[in-house]
Amino acid sequence: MEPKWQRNSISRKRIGTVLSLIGLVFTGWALWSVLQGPPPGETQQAGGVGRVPLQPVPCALPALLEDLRAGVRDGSPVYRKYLRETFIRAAVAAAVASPIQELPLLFAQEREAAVLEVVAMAIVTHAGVAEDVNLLRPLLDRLARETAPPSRAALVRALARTRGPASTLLKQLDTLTYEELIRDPAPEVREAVVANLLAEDSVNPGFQDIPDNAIAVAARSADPQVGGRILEGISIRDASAESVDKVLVLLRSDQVPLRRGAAAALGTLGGAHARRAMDALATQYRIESDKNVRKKILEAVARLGLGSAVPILVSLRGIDSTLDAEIDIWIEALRLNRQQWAHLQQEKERLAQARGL
Amino acid sequence: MKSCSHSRLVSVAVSILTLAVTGPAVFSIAQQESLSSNLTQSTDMPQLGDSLTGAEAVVPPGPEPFFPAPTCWAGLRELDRNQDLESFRAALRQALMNDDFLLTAYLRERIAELANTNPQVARDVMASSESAQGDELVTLSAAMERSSGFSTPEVVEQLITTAETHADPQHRIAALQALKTQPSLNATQLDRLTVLGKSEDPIASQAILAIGHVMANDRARAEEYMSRLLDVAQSQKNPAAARLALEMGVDRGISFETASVQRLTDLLLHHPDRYTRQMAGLVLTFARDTDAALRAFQQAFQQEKNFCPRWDMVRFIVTVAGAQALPLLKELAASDPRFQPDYLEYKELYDSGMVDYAEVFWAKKTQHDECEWETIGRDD
Repeated sequence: MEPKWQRNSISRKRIGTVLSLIGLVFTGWALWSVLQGPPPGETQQAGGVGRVPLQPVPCALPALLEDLRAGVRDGSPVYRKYLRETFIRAAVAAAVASPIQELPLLFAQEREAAVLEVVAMAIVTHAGVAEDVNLLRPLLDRLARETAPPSRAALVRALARTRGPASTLLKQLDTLTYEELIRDPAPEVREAVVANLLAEDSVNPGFQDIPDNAIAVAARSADPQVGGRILEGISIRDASAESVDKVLVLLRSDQVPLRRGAAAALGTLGGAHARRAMDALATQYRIESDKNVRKKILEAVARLGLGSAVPILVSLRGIDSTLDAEIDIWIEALRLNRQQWAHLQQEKERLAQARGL
Repeated sequence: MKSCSHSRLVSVAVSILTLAVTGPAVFSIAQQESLSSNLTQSTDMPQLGDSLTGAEAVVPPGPEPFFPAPTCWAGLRELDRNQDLESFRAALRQALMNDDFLLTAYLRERIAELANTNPQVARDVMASSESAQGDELVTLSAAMERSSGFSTPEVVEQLITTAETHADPQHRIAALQALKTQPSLNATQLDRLTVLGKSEDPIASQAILAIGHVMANDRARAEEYMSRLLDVAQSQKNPAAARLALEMGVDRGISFETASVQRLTDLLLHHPDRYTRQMAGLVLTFARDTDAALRAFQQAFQQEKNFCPRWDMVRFIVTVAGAQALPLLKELAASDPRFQPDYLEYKELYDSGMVDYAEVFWAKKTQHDECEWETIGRDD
């Protein structure tokens, strides 16, 4: 079955053709300037010591990897970033231009996690540029076989930049999914999954599966802290009704971090769900035992209702006297009548700071 | 419940909530900032950390895929190890001559990274920028902007003096750009920048941007900065610069107090230029006292007669008052039936349960794009 993003690619090709015309101009100009090289004589400074610290050389992928290996040991972070970007671009350019594929070979023989990650990123970029998910196969096969946790985490991190969300692609490619990887014995692998999920919406905005996938992964996590962090970091505004229901169930979990994450996630819902979510949150507040979950609930209620949240917040006073001051700050902030969550949040923080809270 | 499918571009826009407040006015703002900063490129420089991703890459049409190869360099590892500014500058000149943006970005960030911990590097950069020109100067100024090593009082003093007195406009601009990331400016420094803000472009716009950006870093004293920006807006002969000064108040996480609100209201109701009035109104949507802003928008609606300025006021009213504005909108629509469809659309959205104006804005079907085109067509 073809991946969903390929079906979507027709509409994106319309955008793509416009962008590609710009891309053509760019590539022509870039190629021309590269071929030009530094003009003779101008590498000598006028009126100063003539210094040419750098020499242009043809891009050789193995050499770039060796530079990166050395850079990992003793180079500056900025230098390592530069090498990463240069390698990725050089690798993709070579992969696109030539029938001889160097990249899979370099990938197969790489053992060092930090360098492996960069080669994997190049593979992911190549797959995106060529619009061919099958180019991801070496990466996915390696992930299935690789035993060293740092390398496995590196491979997962490289998946952050797929064309189309990896949370969906992995399912369609019949390979290890995020639902399975979130239960990986190695904490760094689980971390990599969390980081990828939290970034998916900004790398591939607008894909409807993203919140649904994240919720499913959070629910599958064996570690409630991990599941809770995922829920706290996402917007579920575009989630399906079934997924919203899952989050409402997680609000009643016996695990504190999951309840906290669910409360935070519910706060991101749009107007259509607001009433139902506010009622569920208020009900949970009354029976909730953890103070931090209660705080999150207050925030979510304020966010969902803005001005209309005031009566609910008033009704929650007295249930936990240590949080009455917090309720009062929300009410005061809401009375300033801000019409957007971002602005309400700013006012509330300002008031909290002024109170030393 | 799933919302309707978004095109990817719309979804990117949705995630930029700032646009939700400003609506079509944003387009004119974007135009203005680009007009004012067209002599410099530091803000447009690609960031080194921006990985080229499969999600963003462009493939030109045609039978053969083509992808541009980067330039590769020998000697960079040695360069990275030594901290000699002259070598960096020489490498920068090579990078610029080859239009190698990756290398330029690396050098810029490496210089900033070194200046963070080594005050001598910061001093050397300041000294050597004197002899730099063109893109090299822009890059050094961008490095200064990125580094905390340039936040000392001596540096600020030197930058402002350069901005005031240097014979070469490029150096004055570069100095003003480097000021943008300062954590704060004192009253005297603000006064000096205000004088520059009241002068001519391109210096005026850069001074305005410097005041505006530092204001966002120093929010506790925002009124002091805004008062200077309002001084500039009221004295500037160039309407684009006046609007830029006002625009510095938009979406900075700042809510404006009474003194600023009064002056903004005055501009909204009395400034001769329609677009300056519009910008003043937009800034007023960030007033702490939303009732005062609401009254101002109501009055402005009555004074304006044309559709587009009135549409601005309708939008601003909803921005500050949300569903509570519906009775007022109903009255305005009764007095001016051109706005009856807008009133009905807003009512339907709020009745459906929406509360956040950001959601309402994007869900509203009619955006009156013709008013936006009016903005694009004007001559300044």
